[in-house]
Amino acid sequence: MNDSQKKQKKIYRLDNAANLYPAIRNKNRPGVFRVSADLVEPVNPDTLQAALDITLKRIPGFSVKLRSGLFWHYFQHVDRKIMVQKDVSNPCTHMTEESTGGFLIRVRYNQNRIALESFHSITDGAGAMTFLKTLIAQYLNLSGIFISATNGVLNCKNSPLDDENSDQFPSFARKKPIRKVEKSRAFHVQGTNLPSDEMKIIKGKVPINALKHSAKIFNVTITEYLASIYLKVIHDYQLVHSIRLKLPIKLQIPVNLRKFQNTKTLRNFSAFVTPSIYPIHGEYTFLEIVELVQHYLRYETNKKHLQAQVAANLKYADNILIRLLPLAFKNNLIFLGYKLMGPAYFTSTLSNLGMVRIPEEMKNHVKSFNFILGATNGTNISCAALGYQDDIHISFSRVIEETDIERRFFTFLVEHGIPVYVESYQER
Amino acid sequence: MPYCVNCGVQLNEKAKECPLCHTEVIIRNYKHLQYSERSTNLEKEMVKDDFDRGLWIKLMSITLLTPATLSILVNWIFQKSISWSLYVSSSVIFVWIWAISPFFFRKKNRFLKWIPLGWSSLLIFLYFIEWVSKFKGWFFPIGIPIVTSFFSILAILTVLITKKRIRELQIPSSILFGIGLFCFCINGAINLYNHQVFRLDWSLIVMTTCIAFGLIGIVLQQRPWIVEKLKHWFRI
Repeated sequence: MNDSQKKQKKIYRLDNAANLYPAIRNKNRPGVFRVSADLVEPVNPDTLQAALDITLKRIPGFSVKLRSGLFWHYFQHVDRKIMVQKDVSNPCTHMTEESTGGFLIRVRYNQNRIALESFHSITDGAGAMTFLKTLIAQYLNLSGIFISATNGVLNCKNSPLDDENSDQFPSFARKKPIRKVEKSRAFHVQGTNLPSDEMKIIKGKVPINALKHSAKIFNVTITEYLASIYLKVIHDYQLVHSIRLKLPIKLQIPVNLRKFQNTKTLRNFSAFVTPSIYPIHGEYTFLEIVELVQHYLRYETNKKHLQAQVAANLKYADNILIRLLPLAFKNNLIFLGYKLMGPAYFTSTLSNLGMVRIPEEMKNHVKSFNFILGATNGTNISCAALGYQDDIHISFSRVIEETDIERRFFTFLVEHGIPVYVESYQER
Repeated sequence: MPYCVNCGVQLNEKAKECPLCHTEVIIRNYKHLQYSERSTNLEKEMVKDDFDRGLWIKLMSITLLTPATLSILVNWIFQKSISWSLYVSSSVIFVWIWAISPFFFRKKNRFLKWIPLGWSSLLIFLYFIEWVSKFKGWFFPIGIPIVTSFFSILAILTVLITKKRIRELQIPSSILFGIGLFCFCINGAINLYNHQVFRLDWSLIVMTTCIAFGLIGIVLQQRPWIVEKLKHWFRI
């Protein structure tokens, strides 16, 4: 590879999902999410910095800055160091030039915790988790504990693969896009807004066996069960707080498309399904919601259906008129589209990363993993979950003071015989 | 490990209250206090606004200084005097003060703090215009009452909104009442200046319309489902 080829390689096009976030991001909509791990031993910042430097060489797609071209945003690889930062009480804040040096990720540490915060244009939850696992493996390696490159940990001695930084959406999409128009706006949880740079987080830990047992009674998966509970508690909240206006309750659930396409990409590669209930037709029982969610998710989470959905998303980006529109206009167009059709059409997001699997040698050194979504003023509350060893970790992030939804969610579990351990991220 | 008596969830050993319902944790086993994973010692990260205040001030200064300087130069070169350019440059200075001055105040209640400055700068500008123009005698009988009434109404509305004394549909209703009241002041001041008598005519029509629409807003405010629907329509 000659020098000019190397230079060309250092510029990446944003994938289809990534194009949205630069146009809409601001202090209230940072578009940032976070994955973190609690280690057994306290974290040494110097070793973490060294591990980060090695990891970024292996995964160069995370060491980029967002640049504006004439027609599109693009990522430019920058060789400068990304410095690890001390953790803060308000995570997932807007990434500014000042706070991140223009980079789109932050690696934070505090006591036993290592956290990765990423701007959503860079990667999705699955990609971020691969980065975090690789970073922790490198950290432990540098601390004298050998960790093998298995179970999603990348081998930092190898060179980066082209596939890892590839945009998989075009190859996944079918030619015929799905025609689906969301007609009705969704219900939103209301409350007293927090200051714009604040987000409150409540974390819950639930034994996986108890949750599985409970889900098995209804013959559903854990994601289906959690989605049903979430819909039910928002429905109950709506019955109390919105007496006359019964807008539909729609959950946005990301689906990891890597399950349907053989790829190692670390960039965004997910689609959304939106199970919904329509309280205007009457009050739903939990059993009714479970059945609806189960059938809806199994019908929608189908490869062909998802391919058609991705094709519909790509249709706009491929439109020649949109492509020729200068970036400034395009940004305004995307922002307008987001304001009109974005969070107004779903109530909240529930993202389940699934079980986090790590190499056997790492298990003795990592106590838990966590996943936090950045909530925005549009939806006010988001829920993220992941499983690690014997527990499911559920995090609610909100930009309002009131904790009605979290309280209803966790007490629902307690009432169904599932023990829940709850703690707030912030000290009150 | 403590439990919340209200929610039934287990809590952190160090928890002072339940994060879900804020019920105080009374019984705690101090013997078993362990190292907590909670982020108790974390500082809050301050996120700066995307809006670059310094750039805005520089941009406005350059943009406004250029026409002001040019007009004075053109006036001087072609007429060997500074006459009409005084209007241009004084207007530019006035616009500059209005555009820049809000950023000299702290974010909290910025607008309310700015009102006295806005009021005084507008009065100075109008007084200057009267001073340089041929038509004299309008500043005290018309200028001061209109500007003062406008800023007084603006200040009252700002206090009511920021202190949350009025909310949702009461806000547009109050703004309508404010417009009606301001029209009273304009109408009264002009009639007093022209006919030396305080009389209200056209402003009564404006005020009646404003009251009618304002009352609709106040009545609708009593119906929460309408407020909720309007909020969704306008994506508030």
